[in-house]
Amino acid sequence: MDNEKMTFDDARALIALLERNVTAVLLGKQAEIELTLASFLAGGHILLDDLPGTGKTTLARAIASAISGTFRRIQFTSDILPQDVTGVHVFDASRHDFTFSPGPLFANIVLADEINRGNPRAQSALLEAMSERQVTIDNRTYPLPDPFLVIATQNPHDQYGTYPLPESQLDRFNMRLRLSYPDRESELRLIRESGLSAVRESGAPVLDPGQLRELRAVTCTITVSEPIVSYVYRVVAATRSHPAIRTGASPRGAIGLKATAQALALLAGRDHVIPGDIRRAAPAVLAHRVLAAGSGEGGSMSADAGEALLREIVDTVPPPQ
Amino acid sequence: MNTAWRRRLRPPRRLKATREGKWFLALTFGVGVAAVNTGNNLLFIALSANLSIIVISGILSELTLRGIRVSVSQPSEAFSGREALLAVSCSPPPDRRFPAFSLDVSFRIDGTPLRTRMADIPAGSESVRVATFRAGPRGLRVISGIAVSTRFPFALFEKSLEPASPGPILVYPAPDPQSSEPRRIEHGFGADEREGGRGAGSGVRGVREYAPGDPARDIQWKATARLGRRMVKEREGERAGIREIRLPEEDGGPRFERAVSRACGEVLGCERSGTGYRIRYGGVVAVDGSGRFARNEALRFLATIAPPPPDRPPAATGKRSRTGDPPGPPQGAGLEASPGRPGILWLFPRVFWGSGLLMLAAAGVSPVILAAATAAFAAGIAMERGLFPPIRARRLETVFGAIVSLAAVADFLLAGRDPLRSGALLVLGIQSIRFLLPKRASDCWQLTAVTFLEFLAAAATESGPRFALIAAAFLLLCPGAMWSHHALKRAEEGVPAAPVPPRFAAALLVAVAGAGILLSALLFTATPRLRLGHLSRKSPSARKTIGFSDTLSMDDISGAASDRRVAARVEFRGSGGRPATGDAYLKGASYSNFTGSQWRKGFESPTPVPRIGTHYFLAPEVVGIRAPEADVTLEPLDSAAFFTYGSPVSAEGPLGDLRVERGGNLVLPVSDRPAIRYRLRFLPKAIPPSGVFTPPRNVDLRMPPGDWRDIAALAAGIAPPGLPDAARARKLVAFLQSGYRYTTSGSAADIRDFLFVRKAGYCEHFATGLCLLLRSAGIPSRTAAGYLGGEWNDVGDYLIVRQSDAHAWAEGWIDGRWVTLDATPAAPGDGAGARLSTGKGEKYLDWLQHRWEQYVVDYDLAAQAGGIEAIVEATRRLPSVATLGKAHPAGGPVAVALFTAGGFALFLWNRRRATRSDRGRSSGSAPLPAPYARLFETLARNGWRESEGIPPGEMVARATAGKPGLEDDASRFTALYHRDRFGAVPLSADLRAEAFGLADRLRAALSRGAAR
Repeated sequence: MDNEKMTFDDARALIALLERNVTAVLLGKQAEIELTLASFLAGGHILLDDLPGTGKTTLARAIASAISGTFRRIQFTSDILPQDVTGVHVFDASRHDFTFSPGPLFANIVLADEINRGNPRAQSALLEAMSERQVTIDNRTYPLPDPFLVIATQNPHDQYGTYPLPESQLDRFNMRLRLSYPDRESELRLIRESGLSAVRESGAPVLDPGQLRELRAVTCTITVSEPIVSYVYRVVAATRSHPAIRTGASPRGAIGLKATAQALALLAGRDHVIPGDIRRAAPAVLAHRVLAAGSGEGGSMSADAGEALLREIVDTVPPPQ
Repeated sequence: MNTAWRRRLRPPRRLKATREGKWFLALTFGVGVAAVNTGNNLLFIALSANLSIIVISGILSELTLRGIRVSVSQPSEAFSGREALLAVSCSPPPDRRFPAFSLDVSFRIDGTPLRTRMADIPAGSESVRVATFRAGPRGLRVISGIAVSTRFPFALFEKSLEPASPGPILVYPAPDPQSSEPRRIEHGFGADEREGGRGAGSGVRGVREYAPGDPARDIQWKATARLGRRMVKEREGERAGIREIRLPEEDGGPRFERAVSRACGEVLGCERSGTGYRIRYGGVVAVDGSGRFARNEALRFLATIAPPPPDRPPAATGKRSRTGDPPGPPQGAGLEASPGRPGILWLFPRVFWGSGLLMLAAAGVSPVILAAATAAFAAGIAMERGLFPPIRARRLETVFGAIVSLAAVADFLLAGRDPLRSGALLVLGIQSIRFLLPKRASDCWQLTAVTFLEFLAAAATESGPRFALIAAAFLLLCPGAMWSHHALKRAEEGVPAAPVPPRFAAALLVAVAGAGILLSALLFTATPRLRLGHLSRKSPSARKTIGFSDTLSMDDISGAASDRRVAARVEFRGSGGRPATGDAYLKGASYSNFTGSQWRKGFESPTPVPRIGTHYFLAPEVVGIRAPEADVTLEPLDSAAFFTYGSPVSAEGPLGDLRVERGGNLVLPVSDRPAIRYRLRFLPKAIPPSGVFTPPRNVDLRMPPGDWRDIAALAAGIAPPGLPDAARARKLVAFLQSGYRYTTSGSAADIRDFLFVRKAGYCEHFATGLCLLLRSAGIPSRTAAGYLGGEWNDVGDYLIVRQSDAHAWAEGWIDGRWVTLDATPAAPGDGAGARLSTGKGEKYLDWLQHRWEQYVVDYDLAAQAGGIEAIVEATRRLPSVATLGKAHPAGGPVAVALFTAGGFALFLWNRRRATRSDRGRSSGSAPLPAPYARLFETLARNGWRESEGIPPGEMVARATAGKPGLEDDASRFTALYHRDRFGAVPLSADLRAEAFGLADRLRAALSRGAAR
């Protein structure tokens, strides 16, 4: 498999393994897991946005542990410095030279925990890395490993001492997801089977970075027919003309929507995108990119309002038949 | 504006009868004439069936034509005087669900007619055909007189509509062949010189990527190998001058045309050799031939510059151009029936022909001839299916025809001179030959025409409800046959018909038959019954019934006891159904003159009953008493007797010159009458005052010649002379009823034998005995014959009177009235034939027969007028908008509100349609195939599309969720549908068919199930 191109069926098999691994860890969150995996396959960064203890970190860890690449975690605090994120040049006395000591960003999967607690400088250091996939320190540029994926979490309800992410930075995230409380059955099972010390263990890694790259290549080959492209456009255009939205979704949002839908199609075992994929992906991909007309300067609207607006939009835009 | 008005005033469709259509119309006309002439309602049914086929043909052709759009484009360049191609495309509206069958598009270019035959277009798709035509003079040529026509479904008519005219086509000038030869370039005045430009020189300038059309020898293999893409050498342009093409500065004229033609040739030559050129006209550069679209620009300029005067006939179109059909299958494909899988259209006419033979079998044609024809039919089918090699020699047809004709003539001359049988022999013989030989469309038409005659023949021998079955079978089978012939004819013309889906075809035919039956019924009721002839129902032969003639003998009735034939059907109106038992005597005649062995009516000359039209006044009205009414339908009878209940007051019906004899007997003018139907108003015997009865005459007291003292003594013994007449009559009746026995077996020889010896007999003995006793006692009396009672049919609430109900009784003149005196004792166990109750099924059959006769066979102008009157009455009772306002204060506003709501609903519906079609366009995808569209429409209607944004796949999944039988189908369908609509490659034909099938199945299942 290393030499030849990955086929669609190989991709399906790998994804099934991956899905199984993640589902085993996080109970009762099938839809969210699928969306997360879709964004993961599409190469889009994910922002998990919910109350503490709902499994944000667990999900991130589960995905991270599914690939055999490196995984780092950055806990954002108000006094974190950009260097703490990106790394720093240190003087190597033995060589009489500065050598680069890479920060936690240099990993395949980075979990940025409580990102809104970090100060804007640290945030922007992270966000530059997210979009450029490289880090510039002291005029020297270091490329980040490939694949590179940031999974950030934030707690929107705890506003004290936080720095909300500006829209421009939110746009870098392909997807904002909310993991609400699990359903009754899953929570019962969770209570029954888990303890504070004994968290559910995820399985062995199933993917290596090379395979992930190939999976992403396969994702790109999923057919998006012309009516679907038109549908994506109409959904995005609807966010721009909706009376309750001041700023609509960006073209990056449209691209993200298409790519996520492709990954969702792959997850469902299809080689083509259907309107249902777009419908599923749209709230998660676009909700954080729109700005409600009523909300003040900066700061996106609450996740609830955005998702509701997006659901309303996908309910009014007629899908292709 | 003027043209707009003209457009509006022009009829939207044109109709032309084809050859077959003319035949059909002539036949229909003939049937119509016959119907009007004879007034035979069965012929009116045949007429209605034919008319309904014509109407349905109109509806179906409208369905196939509706909303068709035509566009004409030029797939190739057209040069004047040369053959060029035109692509004609026909597209039905995307939301139409009915396929378009056998469309022809005809139009004119410069007066040259062109006609293109389109293939069948399935719903939601379009069809393109390429036609060749010889282009006329250069310039923009307007396409005029465009018409789309179809002969679908039965080829009886050619209906055409005129769609919006497509844009003009451009004809370039005829290139002059000499001038297009490559020539030495003139380095003329002002000629540009170019160096180093791209061109067709020999020096290599560089490489570029291969483009389709580059010569293979220009491929630069080294660069190709290096880059992995095909690269070609790009040559340096020669030091090429610019060719100056000058046009003389004049308008029109042959010289100018020649110059244009030369210029065109030069342009083409330059284009071929890659030389630059310029067209100069009037001193200025009109076209600079260096741009990318120079060729088109130059040719367009040359085509449209100062067009030749239109009145001059173009030189190039001296002969009529021919229509070119695209190379399809060879001419006459489908001519020889190909073995293999015949479509359902192959089957339809065969079924029709076969059923024609069956009809003949039912009609009683000689079985030998019929068997031969059937064998030929079977053999023909076997040949068509490839079981035997087919007979190819069409010459045999003449030989066979001659043999059959000879046989028919010989049969007529030698064997019995039965024209019917000889005719059948001839027709069936010719039909058999057609069966055996390969069939072209015209042969099929002939066969169908013969079958049509066979159906007519079968129908002619039938007058009962079975006629309706024959008509229904005809309406079901004949359209299919005609459709098939139409398709075959088209195939012979070179347009192979696409195989019609059997389910569609069958559904269409059933719909046609249903509509045909409904329409026939409607037309039948609505066609005016012009009474140019008589209503005559054929009385089936061997329908001789006894009695009611001028004489009544003693043993007449005995034979009728087991005769179950229906004599009459009586519906009592107003009185709430069945009559009282005392009034159940349906009297046909009374007899006064007894000869000793039989009763005679006497030969009095009857006088006509006073009447107005068909209303007969039989007795003066009795003021203050509502006379009951009875609708009496009498079956054919070889007697002139007119049957009445009680004391008749009036009668209404086609009774001709009804006459009354002096004894009070009513007689019809004909002695061998057909079935008649009349309405009788009558009074029960006891009611009317004595004045209305015809008083007795001498003959009612007269004893036959001979010695009758023994009877007189008997009478005096039973009823002493001192008593009143009524009491004596009662005593005499009681005497016979108690002391005598009813029997039909041992019949008494004469009346003395009955009265004194056997003391047993049947009704005529009792009636005669009572009469003689009454007369001996001095009471005038006579014998009456008719029917007593009958069987009540509770299916239709009417009385069935059978021959076995025939009865005789006495009438005595008591207290100024004729009183019915029936001395026949009730006979339990005897006369069992009459008491046998009829089964329920038989009652239904009888009811059917009765209604058939009432509403079909006896349907006449009067009934029609009555129907119209009833409708007028009903509509008068409906509150009209105007009167509503007057009648009810809220009526006006309610009516206005209703109208507004209706208008709004119409507006919404239109809007919905408009947005739907808009949506179809905006998504930029192919139109949704009809099965999908139907399924989604059904789901949306049942409430599964809560919002506009629900994708169809999701709708299907949710509609079928939790329905175990459907979920598998649904997921399979959804997958196929998504692949079909959004996948990388379109579905293969069989997968698509599967998806369509699943869609239809799901739709059926989901529309059966309740809405959510």
